Amino acid sequence: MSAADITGRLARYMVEARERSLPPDVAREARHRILDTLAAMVSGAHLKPGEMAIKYARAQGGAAEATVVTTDIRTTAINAALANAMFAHADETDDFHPATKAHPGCCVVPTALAMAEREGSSGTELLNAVTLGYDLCCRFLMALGADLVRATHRSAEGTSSTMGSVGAAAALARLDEKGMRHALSYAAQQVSGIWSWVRDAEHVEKAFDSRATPRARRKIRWTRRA
Amino acid sequence: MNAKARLLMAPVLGAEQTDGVIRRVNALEALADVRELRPFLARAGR
Repeated sequence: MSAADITGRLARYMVEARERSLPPDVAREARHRILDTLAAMVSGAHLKPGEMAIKYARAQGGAAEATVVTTDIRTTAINAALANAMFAHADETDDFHPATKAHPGCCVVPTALAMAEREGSSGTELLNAVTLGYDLCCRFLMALGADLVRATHRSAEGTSSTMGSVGAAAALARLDEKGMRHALSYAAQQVSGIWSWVRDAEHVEKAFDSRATPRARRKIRWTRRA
Repeated sequence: MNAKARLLMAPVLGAEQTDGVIRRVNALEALADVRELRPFLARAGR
């Protein structure tokens, strides 16, 4: 198999993972991560990043696809994912991956929840999507080398959050292999963020590391129409 | 995990909604539509 087919292998894996029956221990861990992140979202909604996100989401309006938790706002999945992700990392109660220091929950779970609401997905579909998102979030950074990314002054967190979220969103969008390839490519183009976020003690700037995620999902929608 | 979730969510959502979230996520495979979580995660008037 040629090295050039790495994207194809990953895209096929993503298609298969969508339907795969999870081992009981993996499913249990995924449920725990989802509950843990929902709790982080709810508790973070009242802190400064949360208040800013609510103000922003309310001003955006948009089709009532997904919930901004702890509010009466229902907005586009894109806006809801952004607001809920800002909540989720507002107080550092969210999970993290020790090997890479990635924070999979605060990007993957809000994206998956918003997309699942939009699509009317089942709980099992949400569980599989979150599991795939965690895999992509952490494994992309392990493959790239988290310290190598950080050594270039770029945000490793921006890379992991974008690729993790697109994995979850693409699964719930039920993309085929070609769609998965496009989603991965669009997401990779939107990876962003620089190390200066570490100076922001109020956890607002970091939200921009993951802002590419909702945009990637919007492009996935274009892919689906194509 | 349930205790941590309750500690973080109950002050914002109240005990009843919090228990609703915890019960449904712990039995996520039984959830036919994720939209069923909405009444437990949303809050009126905010």
